[in-house]
Amino acid sequence: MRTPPCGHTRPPDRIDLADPDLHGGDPHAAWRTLRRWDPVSWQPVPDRSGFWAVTRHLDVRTVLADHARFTSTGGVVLSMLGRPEPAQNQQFAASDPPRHGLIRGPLQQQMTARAVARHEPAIRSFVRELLGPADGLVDFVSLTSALPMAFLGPLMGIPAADWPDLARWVSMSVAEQDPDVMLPGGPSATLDRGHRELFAYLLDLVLSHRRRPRGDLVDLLGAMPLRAGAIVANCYSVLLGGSAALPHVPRAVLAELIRTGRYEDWARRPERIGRAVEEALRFSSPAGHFMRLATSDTTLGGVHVAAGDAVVVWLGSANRDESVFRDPDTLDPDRHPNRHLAFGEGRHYCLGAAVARLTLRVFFEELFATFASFEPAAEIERVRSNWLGGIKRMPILAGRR
Amino acid sequence: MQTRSELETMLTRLWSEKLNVTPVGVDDDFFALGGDSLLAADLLMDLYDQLGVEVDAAVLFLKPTIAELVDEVLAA
Ligand code: HEM
Repeated sequence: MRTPPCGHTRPPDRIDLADPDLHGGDPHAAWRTLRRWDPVSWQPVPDRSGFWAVTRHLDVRTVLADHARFTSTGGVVLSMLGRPEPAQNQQFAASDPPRHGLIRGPLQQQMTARAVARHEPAIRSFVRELLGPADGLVDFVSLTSALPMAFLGPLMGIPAADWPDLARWVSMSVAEQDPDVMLPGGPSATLDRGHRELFAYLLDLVLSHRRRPRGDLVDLLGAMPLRAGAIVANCYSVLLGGSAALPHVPRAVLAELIRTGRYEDWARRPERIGRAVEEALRFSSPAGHFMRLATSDTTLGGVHVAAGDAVVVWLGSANRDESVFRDPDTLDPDRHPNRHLAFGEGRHYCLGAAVARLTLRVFFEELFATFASFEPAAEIERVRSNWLGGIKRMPILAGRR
Repeated sequence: MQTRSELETMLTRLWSEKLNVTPVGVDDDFFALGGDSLLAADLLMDLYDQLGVEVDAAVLFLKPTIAELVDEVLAA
C-alpha cells in the first residue's frame, strides 16, 4: 500500500470489490476510500488468486490505453478470472491488435456517428412507443428495459418479439449474482445457461441471415473468414454490449433528478442535451469494470504488478475521481470538459458509443417532452452485480405534460 | 437419410475430432468433455453442412448429448 497523501495513517477497512453486495448498496464510498488510500489495491479472491483493483482516472486510462502491457486475451470481466477464455483471439473484445482490428474494422464503419444517424427516425418512433401509454404509477425499469431494441433491430435483425427471452439471458450473463436471475445451481450455472441460450439463439440468427441477408452487422460478421464459433462469439459481444448497460443510464439519472428535485431544470433546456448525455454517462457508469492481464512484470501507480496478474479497472470510480472532476458526485448537465471513461479508452473503446449516445439523446428528448413531473413511489433497488452498476426496481409516479 | 446408428457413428467421429477426446459415448455431455460454446457452434455448422439439415441450435447447447442430437436430426 502507498503512503496516504496528507499525514493520515489509518489504513482502509478491508474492502472487497468483487463482492456483489457492495455494488447492490453504494460502491462509491468504497471507491473513494480506495482512490485515496490504496489506488492500486490487491484484492484476493478465494480459489482464484485475486486481482489488482485500479480506481484512479489516470491509472485506469494507462491500463486501457496500453494493450501491449495489459492484454484482453485472458478475458475482460471478473467472472472470467481464473477461467480459460475460449473466445481468446476469436472475439475482437478478447483480442489485442492487430487481430482485434481485423474483425472490428469492418464493423466500425457501420457504427460511426455519421453511419448510425440514419437510424434516428426508427429509434425515435421506437422510444415514442415505449413511453406512449405511461402515466401515473410506472416501474421505470420495465419502461426502459426494451430500449436497446430501438437499434438492435436495425443493427442485428433481431425481431422485437424475441426481446423478453433475450433480456433474461443477457441478465443471466452479466448479473449472474443477482437473486432475480440466479438459478438454483448458483452464479456459475446461471452464467453458463445464459451464455449457452444466447449462443444457440445467435447461431440460429447467423443462419437465418445466410438465407436472407439484411446488410447489417450480422451479415458483415458472417462474411468474415472466421470459424462459425468465432462469428457467433462476435455477435454475442455486440448483443451483450448493446443491451446490458444502456437502460441503466436514464434510470440512474432520473432517480438522481427526482432525489434532487432538478427534473424540470433538465427538461427545460433541450439545447444542452449533448453535454447532459455525457454527464449522464459519467454519473451512471453502468459498465462497472473491465479486466486485463499483465503481459510482463511492470509497475502501475507505483505498485509492482507481476506478469500474468489480473488488473481490473473500475470505470465508475474513475468517473468520480476528485482530481479530474470538480464535485464528482454532483450530476451537472453543463459539465465541460467531461473526460469520462464510461465507454472505456484506447483500441477497445466502445464500438456502440455513437448509437448509445444517439439513443440516449432521443430518449431524454422524448422523456422531457412527454412528462412534466416524476415522484418516487417506493424504494429503489440496485442490481446485485460487480459488473453491472444500476437500478433494477424503480416505481415512480409519472405526470404527463 | 441415415439411420440412427449411422448418425451416431458420424457424430461420434465429429465430436472426437472437435474435442480431441476418444472414446465418446452417446450419452456423454459435450461441455463435460471439454467443449465450449464456440466449439458447439462449429460442430453444429459442420453437421448442417454435411447433412443438409438444420436443427434448433438450443438442442446441442442445452441438451448436449449425441443421443439427443440424433433424435432431433431424425425428427428434422
Ligand atoms: C451506455 C451504454 C454502453 C456502455 C456504458 C458501454 C461501455 C463499454 C465499455 C466500457 C467498453 C470497453 C470494454 C473494454 O475495454 O474491454 C465497451 C466495449 C464494447 N461495447 Fe459498449 N457500452 C455501451 C453500449 C454499447 C452498445 C449500444 C453496443 C452495440 C451496439 C456496444 C458494443 C460494444 C462492443 C462490441 C464492445 C467491444 C469493443 C472492443 O473490444 O473493441 N456497447 N463498451
